[in-house]
Amino acid sequence: MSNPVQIRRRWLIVILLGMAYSGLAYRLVDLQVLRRANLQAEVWTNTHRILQLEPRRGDIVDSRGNVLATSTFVKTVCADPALLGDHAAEVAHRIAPLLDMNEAELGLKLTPRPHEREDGQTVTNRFVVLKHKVPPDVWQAVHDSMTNFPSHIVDRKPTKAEKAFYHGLRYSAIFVDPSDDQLRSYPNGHLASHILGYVGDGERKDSHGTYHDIKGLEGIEAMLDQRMSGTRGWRVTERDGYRRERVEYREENVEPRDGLHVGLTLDLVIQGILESALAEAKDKEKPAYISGMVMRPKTGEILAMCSLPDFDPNHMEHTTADQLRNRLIMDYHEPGSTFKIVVIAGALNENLVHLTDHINCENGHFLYAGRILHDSSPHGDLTVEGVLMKSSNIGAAKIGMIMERPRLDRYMRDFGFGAPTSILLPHETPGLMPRNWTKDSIVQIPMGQGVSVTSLQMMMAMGALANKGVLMRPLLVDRLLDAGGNVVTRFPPVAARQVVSEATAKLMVEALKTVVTKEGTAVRAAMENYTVAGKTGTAQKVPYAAHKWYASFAGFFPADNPEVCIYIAMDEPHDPAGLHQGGQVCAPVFKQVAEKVASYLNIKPDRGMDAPAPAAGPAPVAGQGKTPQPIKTAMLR
Amino acid sequence: MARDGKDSTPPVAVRTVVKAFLLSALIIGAGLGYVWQKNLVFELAQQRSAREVTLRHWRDANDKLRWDYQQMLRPKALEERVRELKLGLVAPAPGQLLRLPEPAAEAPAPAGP
Repeated sequence: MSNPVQIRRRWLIVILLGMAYSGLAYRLVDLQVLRRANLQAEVWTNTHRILQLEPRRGDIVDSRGNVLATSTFVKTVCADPALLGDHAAEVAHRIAPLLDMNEAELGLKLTPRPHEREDGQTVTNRFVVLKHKVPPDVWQAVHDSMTNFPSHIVDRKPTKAEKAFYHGLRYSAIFVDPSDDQLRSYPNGHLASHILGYVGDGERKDSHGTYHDIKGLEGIEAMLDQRMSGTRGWRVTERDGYRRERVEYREENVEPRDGLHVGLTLDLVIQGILESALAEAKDKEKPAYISGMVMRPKTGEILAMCSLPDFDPNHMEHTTADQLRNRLIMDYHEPGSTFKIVVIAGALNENLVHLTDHINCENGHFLYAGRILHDSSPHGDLTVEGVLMKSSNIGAAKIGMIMERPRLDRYMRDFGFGAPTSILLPHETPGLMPRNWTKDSIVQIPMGQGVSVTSLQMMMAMGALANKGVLMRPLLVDRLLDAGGNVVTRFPPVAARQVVSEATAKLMVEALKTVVTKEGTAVRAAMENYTVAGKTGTAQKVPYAAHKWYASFAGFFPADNPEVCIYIAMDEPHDPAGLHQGGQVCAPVFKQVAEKVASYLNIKPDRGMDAPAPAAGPAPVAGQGKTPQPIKTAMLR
Repeated sequence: MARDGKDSTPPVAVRTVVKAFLLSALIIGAGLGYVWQKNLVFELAQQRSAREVTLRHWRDANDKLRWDYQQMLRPKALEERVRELKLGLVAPAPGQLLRLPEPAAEAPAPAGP
C-alpha cells in the first residue's frame, strides 16, 4: 500500500513530466507548424546553392575558319580572411607572384577587417575577391601552393583545433568562385581590331547573387552580342559544411547553350597583307591616319578592312579614342577626284556625253559663278575619257553642268552617297549631301568638293562600276555557326540596285583603265600581269588655304573580270619628297597590296606571260568568280 | 491423445510462420534495397563529380591548345618563323604558276527517238 506521501510524490512526477512533455509538444508545434515556412526557407538557403552556368561566348572566325576572337573560361580567385589567422602576410608572399600581383596590396586584401553587424556584433569579413580572370593553370598553381602550406607546429602534436585551422587554411581560405568567368582573347592582337571590336566586363545581379558578365562594346562584338552570348544554364544543388557540392542532391541542372560563332568574310591573310602595307606606308608618308579596304566587287564581301592607328583588343587599358575610330565608316570627307566617276558614269548612262566627246578644259582656268576653277596641269581639249584619265576638274565640272542638278543628285544617291551602306558595324555615318545647292555647287560637286562621303561609300561606288553597274551591299558576316561548326544562318550577297547600265559600266571600266597608264594619274598602281582600272583622288581639306590633303586611290583588277577592288586613303600625307597626290602616295600601296592578294588568291593574270592567248576558245576560269583556293604551286626561291 | 488434455497446445500454423517470415524478409529487403540504392546514388554522384572535374580539365587544356594553335597560325608568327628558318620562301611569280584548265562541260546527249 502506498502512503499519502508516496502518492503525492507520484503525482508531482506525473505533473512535472506532463509539463515537460507539454513544453516539448509546444516547441514541436512551434517549429514544425507555426514557424515552418520561415525555418524551411532558412534551412534551404543555408544548404542550397543556385549556380549560374555560363555559356561559352561564340568565336569570330574568318572566311577560312581561322579564329579571330575566342573565349576561354577563367576563374575568380577569392579568399576568406577569417581562415588565415595571422598568416595573411605569409600567404600573400606565397601566392602574389603566382597571381602576378603586388605582395603588399595582396597582403592588405587578406588581412581580416572587423566590422559591426546590424545586431551590434563585431565580425570579420569572410569574403574578398583577390583577382578576376585567372587562367585555370594559374589557379592550379595557387591551389597547389596553398595545399602545401607548412604547419608552424613542429615541436609538438597539434591539437584538434589547430588541425582544423590548418585544414581550413590549406583547403578553404583561398578558393575560386564556382561561377565561371570568361576571358575574351584575340590571337592576332591588332589585326582587324576595328572590325572585331572589343568586350567589356560587367556585373549582373539577381536575387541569388552577383555574376560576371562580358558584353560586346564595339565592332562585331557589339553588333552580334546577343547571338554570341548564348543562353545561361543553372544548377540548384546542396552543399555540405565545407562548401563542397553534394552532387547526389542536385535538384535542377540545366546546361547552358553556347553562343553562336560568327563567320566573317574577312580573310586573315589578306587582312595581314593590307595591314602590313598600310603600316609600311604610314612609316614612309607619315599621314595623320591611313586606311584601306579589299572587297570582292561581285558579291560585296569585305576581305580586309583596316584603319591605322588601331588598337589591341587584348589590352584596352592604354587605348585612346583616336585609336578606336574606324575612319572608313565613321569619318566623312570631301572625296576629291575619285568622285568624278559618279558624274561621268551618270552622264554616260543618260547619253548626255560619249567617251569620245571633246570637252574644252580652258587651259587650266575656268571662271564660273564668280569662282575660278583650276586643274593641276593645264589642258586644252580633252575627250571625256581624257577628263577621267587626266583627272581634269574643269572637264568634270562641265560634264556636271551638262547633267544639271536633278540628275546629278539622283546619281549621287543611287551610287549610295548620303545614306549608310548598312555594313554590320556600329557608328556608320551617312556622309553629307548638299541640302542647299549654291550657284557653284554644280561645278564643285563633280570634282569632289561640297559633298562628304565615307571611304566605304566611295569603295562601294567603285565596286558598282566593276560589277556591271550593280551596287552591292557590303557583306562582312556571311554565316553563323553553332558550337559544332554547323551553319545555322547564311547571309547571301545582296544587290542594292542597278545604278548604271552594264554597257555604261563597261565604258567606265575602259576609261578607268587609262588612269593607270603613263598618261594617267596613277601609273604607280599599274601591275605587271593584270590590267588595273581605278581612279585617284586628291582632296584639299577645309579650309582649302591650309594646303592639307586627303589622298586616295580606288581601283580593281583584272579590269574586265574584276576579282578584287582595293581602296587606299591617307589623311594629310607628309611625304619627305613633298608628294601628296593619290596617284603618288596611295597608288603604290594599292599595287603592293594588289600583287600580294593576286598571288594569294591565285587570280589568273589577264596580261603578261600567263595571259590567255586571244581567240583560244573558252578561257580557263580558275580563280575567277569562285571561292578562292590557296596556291597549289610550290613556292619557289 | 488429444482428449486427455496432455497435448492441448495448438499446432504452429505453418502458414502464419511463412507469412511472418515473408513480411520480415520484405521489410529487411526493402531496408537493404533502400540502403543499396542510396549507396549507388552516392557512388554515381561521386563518379559524375569526378567526370565533371575531368571534363573541365580537358576543356581548359583544349582551350590552351586551341590558343597555342591560333598563335602559330598568325601571319606574323608564320613570317617570323620563315625568316628564322631561312627558308627563303617568297610568293611565286606568275610565270612560276602552272594552271590546269577546267575540263569543258560535256554536251548533253541527244534525246532518243
